Amino acid sequence: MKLDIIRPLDNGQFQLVLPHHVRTMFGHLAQQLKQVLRNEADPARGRLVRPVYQEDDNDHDDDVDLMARMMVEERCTDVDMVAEMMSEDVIDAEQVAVLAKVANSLRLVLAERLNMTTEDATQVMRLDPDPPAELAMFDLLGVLVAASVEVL
Amino acid sequence: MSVLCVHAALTDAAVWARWLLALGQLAPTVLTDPTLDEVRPGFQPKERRLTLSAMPTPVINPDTREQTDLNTPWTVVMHNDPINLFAMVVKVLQKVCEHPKEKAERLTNQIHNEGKAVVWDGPKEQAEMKAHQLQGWGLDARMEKA
Repeated sequence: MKLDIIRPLDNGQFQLVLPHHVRTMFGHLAQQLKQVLRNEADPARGRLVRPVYQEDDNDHDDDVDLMARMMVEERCTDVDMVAEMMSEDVIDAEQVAVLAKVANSLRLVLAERLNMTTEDATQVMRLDPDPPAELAMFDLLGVLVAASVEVL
Repeated sequence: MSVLCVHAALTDAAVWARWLLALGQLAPTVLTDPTLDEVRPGFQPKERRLTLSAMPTPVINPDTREQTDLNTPWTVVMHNDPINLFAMVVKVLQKVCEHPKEKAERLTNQIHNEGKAVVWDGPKEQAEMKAHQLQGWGLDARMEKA
């Protein structure tokens, strides 16, 4: 089943179909994601920002200095972009891609916090008529990611 | 990688109703609270994520090597993360690594089944950029000397 969350328009843009409550919540979660990204002591950050170089400490140090921090800031900019997007009804392809990236990052952090996989979550959502809020959010984010990549 | 199929039997309205009902209970600091798993005891710690030592040696896809300089010494290796959706990985490999869909699907299957796969190889600086671009999507991409 596909939920009609991101609807392609004739002009190449996309209509974002999300309830107001979910938009508010998503914007709020996205801002928390920035805190996680900037907190190097947070274990969940390790799920988002991984060492690119495994074999050479010098390469690793150079990468952290030159690239990794810049990429983290780029991802924080993506978060801000998504927060702004939550007040828009029509978005373009670049915004859809950013939405998918941020939604997937949120899923990774939730998964790390809850120590679970997508399969675990799918099983609970299938069997539990009253699922925990975190799982419902994880589930919704997964559908949002799937809807986003489908139209890209 | 995973495929979403949990809502196959529900209508759109029913799915939204279920989500919105549950989301009313979402903790305000859900992302920044490192003890969340302690207050949600329904999730038992699992060791499902593959460790590096348990992973097989990556197989360099012949098609990948044909497109790049055979003498270049770096590869981008993508590791499996059971959170990322199969369709997303395929799409990102198409966009970032510029692989055709069939090859992106083949590599994604390899990552899913074998734990990792070489998704790109080439000069060091370009490999580094690709690895960071893939990580920007939440994918576990790392560099290795070829």
